Amino acid sequence: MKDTILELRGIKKYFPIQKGLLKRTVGYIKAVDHVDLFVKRNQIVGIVGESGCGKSTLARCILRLYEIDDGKIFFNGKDVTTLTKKELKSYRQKVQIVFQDPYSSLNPKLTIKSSLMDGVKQANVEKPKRIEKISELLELVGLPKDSMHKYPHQFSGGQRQRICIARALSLNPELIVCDEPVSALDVSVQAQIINLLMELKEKIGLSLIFITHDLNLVGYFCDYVYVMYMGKIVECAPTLDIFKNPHHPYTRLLLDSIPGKRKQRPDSVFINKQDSQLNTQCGFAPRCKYFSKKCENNLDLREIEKGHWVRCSLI
Amino acid sequence: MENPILTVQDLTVQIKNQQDITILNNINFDLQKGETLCIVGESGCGKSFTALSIMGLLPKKAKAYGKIMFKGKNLLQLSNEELRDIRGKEISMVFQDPLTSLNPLFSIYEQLSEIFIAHGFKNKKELKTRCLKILEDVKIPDPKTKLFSYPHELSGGQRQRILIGMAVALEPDIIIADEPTTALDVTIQYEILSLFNRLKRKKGLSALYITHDLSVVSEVGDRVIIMYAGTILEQGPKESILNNPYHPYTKGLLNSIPSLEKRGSYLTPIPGFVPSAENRPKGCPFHPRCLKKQAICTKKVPDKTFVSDNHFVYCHLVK
Repeated sequence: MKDTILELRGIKKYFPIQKGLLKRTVGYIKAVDHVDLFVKRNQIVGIVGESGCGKSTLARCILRLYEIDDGKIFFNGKDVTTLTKKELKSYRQKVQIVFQDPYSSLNPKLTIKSSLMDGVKQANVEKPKRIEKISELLELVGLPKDSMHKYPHQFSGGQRQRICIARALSLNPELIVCDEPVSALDVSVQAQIINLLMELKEKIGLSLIFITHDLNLVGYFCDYVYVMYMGKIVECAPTLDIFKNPHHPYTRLLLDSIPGKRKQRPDSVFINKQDSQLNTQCGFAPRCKYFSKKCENNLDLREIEKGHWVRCSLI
Repeated sequence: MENPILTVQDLTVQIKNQQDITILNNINFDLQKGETLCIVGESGCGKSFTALSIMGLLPKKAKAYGKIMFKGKNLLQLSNEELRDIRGKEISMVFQDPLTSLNPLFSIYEQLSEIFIAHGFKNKKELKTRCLKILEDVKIPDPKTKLFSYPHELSGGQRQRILIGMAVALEPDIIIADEPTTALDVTIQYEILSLFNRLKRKKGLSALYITHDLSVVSEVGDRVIIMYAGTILEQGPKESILNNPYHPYTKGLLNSIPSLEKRGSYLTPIPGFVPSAENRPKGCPFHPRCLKKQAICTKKVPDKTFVSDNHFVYCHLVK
């Protein structure tokens, strides 16, 4: 497909569990387990799930900040899985990341100008035009020009997140991976940042991967949603489909848990049995109310409507 | 109102530095028996300071003026020893961060039993059954083994449950919860909120619930106070505040919440950010960020205006 900007095929990232003096590997934590994911141009793709489900690991895998154990990443149709360090530079120019915590992701000893300068240099902007470019960037994210001479501690959380976004934009990326960019911010400031991201999407045709645990946000502005649980995608569909017609019990649990708009009590039964006693590959089984004999069947993502995929044996 | 269990009158908190910084400015409210009062505002509005002054846990540099009346006593004038008797037994608190509120070096049992011992409980055999009862109360799975585990062996949700369990262990009259679910996932948040509501009903507690999230308010609160820059801007019953807000700040907070219904249009956030305590503006504290600002707003602090029997607002625009 021509309009697919990023394509992940069977991405795997296992972390070894090491024990003892000799650091023998006794098992693996399957942080990301066979994830397929597509991002179309100028689309906002949401990844939701509880903490510990592998969302952030996936984000780091996409940027190849972690070496993946298996699978392929295609960017604009080109395989980027095997790029060398040098070649990676140009890939990372086009794919940027904004982290969750704006307090720890800016160097406190650098002025905003020097924080942004690195990116501007990488983007091959000629020397005399660099300062101009930086003020343009700051303007784009809604900060006054003279803030380039200040240090991070002089800004509030929301402003720092704007700076992080400006830094990501300094390389003229085509795709930005946002790893919970607003969860550390107050609601009013969060709304400012969300508006900014929407504006950028429309103005410069950016594509976004938006990682979050806030379903209100996903419903508000993502085009396509992936629901992740224990390293696997359990359901994916266009946003409206997933909100109106959720199939996987986990998705339903998440949707029912949104405060304020609860239609029914979420059926969050926590303990069925211990993991080992359940004869199933489904990671959600210990918490699932609908667990039955059928769950022993093979588990694959299946398409149940056009564009709506579910990993559950009961459906 | 008839019979408040806690009354806060003209509470002002200042921090002594080279120049005095006013953190809280003339806070007035009361807490009825059995109700949940929510305090809502952005970070830096003084929500947590309100809670800390009630608990007598203000930092040394801070000085509180006014009155906090609880059972005929002014909490601000009590000595440390007297306060220690009240804390935990009559008023208790749950903090925001379950990861740092438990001591990593002591087992859950040691930390739970400490509350009972501190309040003069001596029978060792019964101590254990009491502690087990707490864990059962807050629905920790497998309480017998969990009792002797250490905080790092528990998940964030479980730790928060234990903290809530600790807070209600001695059946206090008031429980103060300072953003207890902010650090947690939505699913866990739901469980903690329903646990909180259940325990409150069962034990007939009054609660002060501090949050920045108005969607949480709809789950727990009876009445709501909207706070901004150390002052109260609006106060009223939950339904009335959520469905029929008067203050531009309350409206702004509600408009900032994204949702499926608002898809396709831009959100209308509150511009700017909360001023720091040193440079709070004159007049209405909210005027620099207010979209409907008028000349009078910059000069005069607005008066209290009642819009219904128990809903009032501080704003020049509301007549």
